[in-house]
Amino acid sequence: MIAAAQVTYTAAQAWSDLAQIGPIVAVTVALLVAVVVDLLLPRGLRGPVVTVIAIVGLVSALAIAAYRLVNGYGGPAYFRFVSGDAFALFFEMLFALIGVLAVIVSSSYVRRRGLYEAELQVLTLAAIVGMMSLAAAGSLVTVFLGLELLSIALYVSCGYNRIELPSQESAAKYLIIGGFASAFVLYGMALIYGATGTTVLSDIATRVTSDSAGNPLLLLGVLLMGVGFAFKVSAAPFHMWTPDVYQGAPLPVTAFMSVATKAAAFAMILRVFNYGLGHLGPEWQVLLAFTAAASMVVGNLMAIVQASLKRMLAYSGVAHAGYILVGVLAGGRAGVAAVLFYLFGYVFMNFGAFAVVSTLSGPAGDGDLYEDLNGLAYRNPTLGVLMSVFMLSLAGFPPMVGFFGKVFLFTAGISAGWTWLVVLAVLTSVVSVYYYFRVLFHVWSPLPEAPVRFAFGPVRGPVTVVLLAGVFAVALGPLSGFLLQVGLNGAAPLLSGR
Amino acid sequence: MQALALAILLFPAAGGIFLGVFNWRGSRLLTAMVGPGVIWAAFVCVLILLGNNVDQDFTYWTWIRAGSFEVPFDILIDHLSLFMCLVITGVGGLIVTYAVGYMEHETDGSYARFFCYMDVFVLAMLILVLAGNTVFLIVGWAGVGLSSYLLIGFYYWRRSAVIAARKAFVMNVIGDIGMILGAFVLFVSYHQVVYLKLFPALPHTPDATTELAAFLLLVGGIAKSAQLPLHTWLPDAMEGPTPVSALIHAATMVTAGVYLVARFHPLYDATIYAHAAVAIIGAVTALFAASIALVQTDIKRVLAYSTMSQIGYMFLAVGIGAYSAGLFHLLSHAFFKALLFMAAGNVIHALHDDQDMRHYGGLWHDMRRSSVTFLAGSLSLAGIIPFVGFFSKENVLGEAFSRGDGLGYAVWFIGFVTAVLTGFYTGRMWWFAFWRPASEERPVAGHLHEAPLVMLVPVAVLAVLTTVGGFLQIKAIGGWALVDDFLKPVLGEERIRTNGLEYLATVLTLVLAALAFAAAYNFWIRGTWSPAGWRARYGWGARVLERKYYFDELYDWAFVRPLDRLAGFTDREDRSLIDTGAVDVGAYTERGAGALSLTQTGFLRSYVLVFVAGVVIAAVLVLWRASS
Repeated sequence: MIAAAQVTYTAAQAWSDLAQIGPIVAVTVALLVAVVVDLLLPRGLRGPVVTVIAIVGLVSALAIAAYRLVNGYGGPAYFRFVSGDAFALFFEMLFALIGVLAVIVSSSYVRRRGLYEAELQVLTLAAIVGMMSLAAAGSLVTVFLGLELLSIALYVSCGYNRIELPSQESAAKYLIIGGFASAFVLYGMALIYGATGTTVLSDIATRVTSDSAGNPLLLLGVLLMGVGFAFKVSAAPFHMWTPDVYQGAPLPVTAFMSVATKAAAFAMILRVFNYGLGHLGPEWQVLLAFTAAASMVVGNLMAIVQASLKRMLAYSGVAHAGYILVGVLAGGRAGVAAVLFYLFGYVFMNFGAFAVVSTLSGPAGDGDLYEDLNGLAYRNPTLGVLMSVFMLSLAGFPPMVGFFGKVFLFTAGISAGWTWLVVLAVLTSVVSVYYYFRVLFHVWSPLPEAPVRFAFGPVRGPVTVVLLAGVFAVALGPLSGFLLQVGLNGAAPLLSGR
Repeated sequence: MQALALAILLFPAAGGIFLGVFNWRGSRLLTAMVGPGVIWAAFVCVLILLGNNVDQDFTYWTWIRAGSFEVPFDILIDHLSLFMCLVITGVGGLIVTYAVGYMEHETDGSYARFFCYMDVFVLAMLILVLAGNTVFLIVGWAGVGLSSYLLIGFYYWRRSAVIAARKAFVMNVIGDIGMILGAFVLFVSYHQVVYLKLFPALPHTPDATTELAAFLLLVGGIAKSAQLPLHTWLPDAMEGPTPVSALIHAATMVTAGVYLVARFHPLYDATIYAHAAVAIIGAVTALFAASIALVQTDIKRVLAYSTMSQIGYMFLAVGIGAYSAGLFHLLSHAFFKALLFMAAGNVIHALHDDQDMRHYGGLWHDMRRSSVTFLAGSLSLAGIIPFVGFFSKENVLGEAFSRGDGLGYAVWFIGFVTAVLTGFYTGRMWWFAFWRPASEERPVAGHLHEAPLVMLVPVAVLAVLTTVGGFLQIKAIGGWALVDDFLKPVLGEERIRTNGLEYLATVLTLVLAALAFAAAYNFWIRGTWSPAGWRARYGWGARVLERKYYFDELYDWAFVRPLDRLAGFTDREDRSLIDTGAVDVGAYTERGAGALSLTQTGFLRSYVLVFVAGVVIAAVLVLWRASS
């Protein structure tokens, strides 16, 4: 209840605050410029120009974040509603990177499918602004703002291929279920506000102590928010939308969603639960432990019986959400760092896999059946070998990054006492080898006799992305010590502030 | 100098990568330039280091650091490693150059593959001798095993080559395990892997630890050097192309065991039993292999057994503490055995890959140049003055004789008998294959084509070295000892004092070996004595020798077949018990997943239902948690 008159806000303060959210500003500016340019330029130029603008904006966001991370990072800004700390910068870099990959893949994809190019890039930028705000959020208000910004951008993106029924279905289902889940999150936030009288996370962290555990408002708030968060990371049993939405959405959107939304939602969980409601640990942990276990079992089992690669990867994403939740549950320096590490590695292996599948699409549709991969290793050795790398990494084979990610997550889980969950995680990972290796089987099977459903179009862009992702997926394994250090650095703000 | 030391390794590495990755469908000429070129470049690096008298342990980076355990990547340049590098890159360069001509009939892909493997082998061998710690020693040790496997199985479409390669690999892995365990014992006991820190930490009096470590390292040494009882792979390894036999199975890799004992001489000097075992194994192998060589008909196999026999001499030398004598024989053997293999290779090449000496003859007339060089090699192998083999072998035997104790006299006597046998089987090879009139079974009836220049020049260079190389160290007849002096900084002062009596033994050996060489003439040319008559009288002896003392049969009976049966048993049980179980688990899992997937109806209402069910479960859990 601060009276407006008491607030003094100087120009210097304004500049400093703006600097704290530098990466978000860069992407926002790119977004606005892109929208205007899209209106002014002749049709033929729009797509390429907007793509270039998007890449420039994302790369400068990446550069700003990296610069700030190296040269001592900031702290709270805008009355503690956002923060420019190392945690935020870590995720801002991650989203900028995903953005660049997504823009490159989409620009090639829309051309092959005969869709408009510019709007998709604008939507991607909007979603990235939302995700970055989520990671930088210092208040529940900012959290919700970011959440809705990214969700609405994605609802539209899912229905981007608007003349196709599956794409419409995808968008409609995502919108309805997403709205349903958002209501849970919002109600939960309202209850937390009711119980603590503030939306600022650092204040919540000081006002909610372990003595408040009996407060029914808080309990209900944790429950409702937890459900909404679990929906966003597509953890079971709140995952039912995932396969349908992933399958119907245009491939680059699916690829983008599968990694970026997941990372953003985990940033949100870490901010709100591990930081803001850290003292209610036992309460939200029981909820998350349940969803983690359910996700690992359901995700891995359901992935076995899928015929479509998109659906398989959707369920594999559910399973991975379960693994990452182990790190969230473990908490502490090791747990949070492991989550950041895993998200970073997961981006490359999963996006890379989707990018490979995206090359199999033509004007007629997306080739997302296992059979479409037949003989890929001989048709295009680069893609074939790298697809194998991604699958091995997802299955957690050394020396890929996926192996180290699992090691860090599971060791953190064991030291925090979640042994039963880690045992379950390891057992279900064994199951996952089955469906990942099925991909390998098709990639390395002899060339099919029948003509290939989808010949390769102009796919230089995606191949670059795949190569990049492949290099990261392999190289981050041996460099895991360095990346873990970055993760530990990013984890620090969540632990010291309390 | 630090960069130059690393460059010795980088040149062959670059060559191997270039040929393996880029040039396998590229230019043949480029392959012929790069393959030998990089080895000569490494040779030049070695010469520069030698010229600058570098003697240093260069550490480049720390490879592993875990607690107190630290493995640096370091290259130890001292007179021993330079000596070995000279042999590897010098003789190796000659042999790989020779291969440019010998392998000309290969397809482009195989041609590049061959030189890629050769460069990789040289790289591994150089790592082995340049390593400054036991970990990189093992890296090189395993690397030469691998490249030897690849090269023996070079003609992978021949079943016998693949089997020979597998046999060599398995035998070598037995040795690798011994080697690794030995290094492990040393690390556990003395907490060091770097030679220069490990050796001062060793005790000077024998104890169980040093004996154990020395024995385990020796297992590695005898496997790699084809000594008893891990020798059976070497004769079969002759399935590889002849330049491979010359480089790997005569001049370099098989002498790694000798290098190992010399490198670890502080360890062996501190032991009694392990050190004596080296000498005894060497001596027994020398005699054993020489006796088998008497009856072999495949020219490369004769050479293979003679290699085993000569390495036996080297083991004998380092086993009695005459390290530099052993290394001198290593150098000398590299000269004359590479020469013999390559001269034989010229013949084999001309005779369309026929290696059976019974089909030979008439070579003195048709291939005069190759024959002359082969004769130089033969006389050297037989130990005839003034060829290099005489000086080095008599050096070894002289040291054994002068040692003056029971072990010394025993191994000297075995070595002496072996020398006579060597004279005989070498003579047989020479008279029977080269001198004798052309056999009617010769695959090429008319005139034979002498080898091209690229093959003759390396052979000629080695022939010259074989003829005059002995004058590096004429200790055997009293005189200077340049090799001893060169290696003194590493191996220390020569320990054995001579007393003059060994010159008598030298003369005796020389005369008897020369007589044996000449006697072979009576057997196979003049026919004064007929081999068939001897065979009729001592048929059982010939059979034992032809079956190589039944070692292969013994190993087959004792190891291969029981393991085969065990594997068959586990295979059957695996299929019926474990596989079925695993398949069932998989089937049930899949069926469960199928049932679970029925929930995925595609209807939004059912999704919301599951969502709400999840909320209810979560609510119950949170309430339960809050109330407990």
